[in-house]
Amino acid sequence: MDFAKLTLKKAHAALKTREFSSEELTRYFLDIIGKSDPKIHAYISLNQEAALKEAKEADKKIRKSGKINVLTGLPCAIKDNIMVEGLKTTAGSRILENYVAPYDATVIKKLKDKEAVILGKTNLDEFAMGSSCENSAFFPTRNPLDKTLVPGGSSGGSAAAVASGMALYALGSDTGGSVRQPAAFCGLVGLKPTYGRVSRYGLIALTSSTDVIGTLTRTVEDAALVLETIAGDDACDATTKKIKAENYSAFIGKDLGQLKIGLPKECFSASASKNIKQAIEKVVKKMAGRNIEIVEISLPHTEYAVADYYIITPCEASSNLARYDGIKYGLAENKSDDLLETYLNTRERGFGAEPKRRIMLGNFSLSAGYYEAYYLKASKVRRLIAQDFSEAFRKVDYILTPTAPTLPFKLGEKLSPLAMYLSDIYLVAPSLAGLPAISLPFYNEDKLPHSLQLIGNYFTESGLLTAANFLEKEILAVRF
Amino acid sequence: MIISKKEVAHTAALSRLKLSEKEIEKFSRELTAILGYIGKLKELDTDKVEAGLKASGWENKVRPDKVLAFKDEKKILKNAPKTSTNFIEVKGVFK
Repeated sequence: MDFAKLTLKKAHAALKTREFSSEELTRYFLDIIGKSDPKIHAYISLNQEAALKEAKEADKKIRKSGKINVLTGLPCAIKDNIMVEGLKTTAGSRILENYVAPYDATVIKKLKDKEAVILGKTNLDEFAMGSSCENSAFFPTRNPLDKTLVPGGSSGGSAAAVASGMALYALGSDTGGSVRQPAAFCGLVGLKPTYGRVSRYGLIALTSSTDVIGTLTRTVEDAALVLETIAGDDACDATTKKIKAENYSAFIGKDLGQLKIGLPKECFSASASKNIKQAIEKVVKKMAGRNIEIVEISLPHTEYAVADYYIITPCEASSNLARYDGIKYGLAENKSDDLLETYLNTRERGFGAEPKRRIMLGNFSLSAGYYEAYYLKASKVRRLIAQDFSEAFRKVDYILTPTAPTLPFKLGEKLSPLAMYLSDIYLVAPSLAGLPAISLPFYNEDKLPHSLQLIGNYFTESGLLTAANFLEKEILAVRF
Repeated sequence: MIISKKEVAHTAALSRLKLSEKEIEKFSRELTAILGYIGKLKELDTDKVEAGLKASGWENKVRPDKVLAFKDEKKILKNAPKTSTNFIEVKGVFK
């Protein structure tokens, strides 16, 4: 069996029938990581000993009773801004380089309750700020499909780990596209659940009003299997909703019924490159041939979404990053007796260029005299962006857009900060509105994968996954 | 609008960021470009729009204020640069 291409469902079935053990599987992954990761740099740190211990525990359970959880004994990778007790959690930043998580994030607790095997922590843009993984304070990650390209970001390490066969699945975080875009660049499925569907307790905060933990997997069904494990209300995260998490995998393969998919005309205007638009058009044509009703819709505030996002997110980030002061935890440049010097020296050495840029942008936009023109204005426009979607969902079930306006770009291409921000054009609007969205890969004439994004209404993950699975199996399975 | 070097230096001081002369120049350029782009929000009339997302059903969730003990404070203290007994040591605020 080719371990590198295993889906969770297949791996689970094989463990159950004892085709191989979790220990064998885990040793295989650790071995491959040892061989491949020096070229890819997906992982920041490994959890070798504990992973093997977890695998042996899982095997014991399998031997004892055939009844095991679907994620039991299956090795995964965790983005390094999610806390795993006892492991370093760096958030890709020098300021947390030696920080050891004192407790498990809720999602990790839930994975451990189901006997998951955690292989290690993956690279990211510093504090999840970026779209290429080049903003990591440690090293850039390479795209396993072509090592001269970026894997996308900020969950680039998680995407590269799964795409190169160094983990069966991975968790990432998505603030304005950080799960969906790297999934697109690495040919994976990336799911960002509804804001409030998955607890962020133990996730290092970037933009508290849009941060969501999501999944990077090979298939839609795998995404459903991981989501049903990590979703749900949590007393430790007041933004989670008291809506029961569904058995999402049960919705895979369900009857679609009459499906209406909206194409926002603003998303197919000048912003996308020609080959991206042509590839999506082919997909849409094929969907129409399969009895899916395609409706042209309008999201009139699309062109303001990036501008809006890059006010909201730096404002929240500058507040969230104020806690790194060299006193409580993390890097401390505290040789001087002066408190202000400690703050200044710690933050100067600890933060890279992008966090500094966003702290500056955020605090400037929040400062007296500018607050109304920037932050307050952006909060109002945010409502208009969310209203566009509510209007659209009166007419259609799901909305389809490209995931990214281009195919993966070159490592070291050094886009200007603004150009980098604009590459998030299709991703930030659903984040600002708090909607669930999934990125699906497909292949056109290009060697590299294309991708599309399917956006659903609030808490419609089950239907979204049914539709995404249909597209994956019936529409996108072929090379166009 | 141009974000002057003086404004950059002032914002940096408020943000507890020590910037070199070169960084101040760079941020003055970059913030001017980014905020210039963000200025496009001004095209929209938002006088009658309420801020935030309350309309979308995001309301505050409350629970009883119950204290839960964290069982292993040593793990938290281990991350602190300076501790004394079971406390994090802080520098004097007043001179």
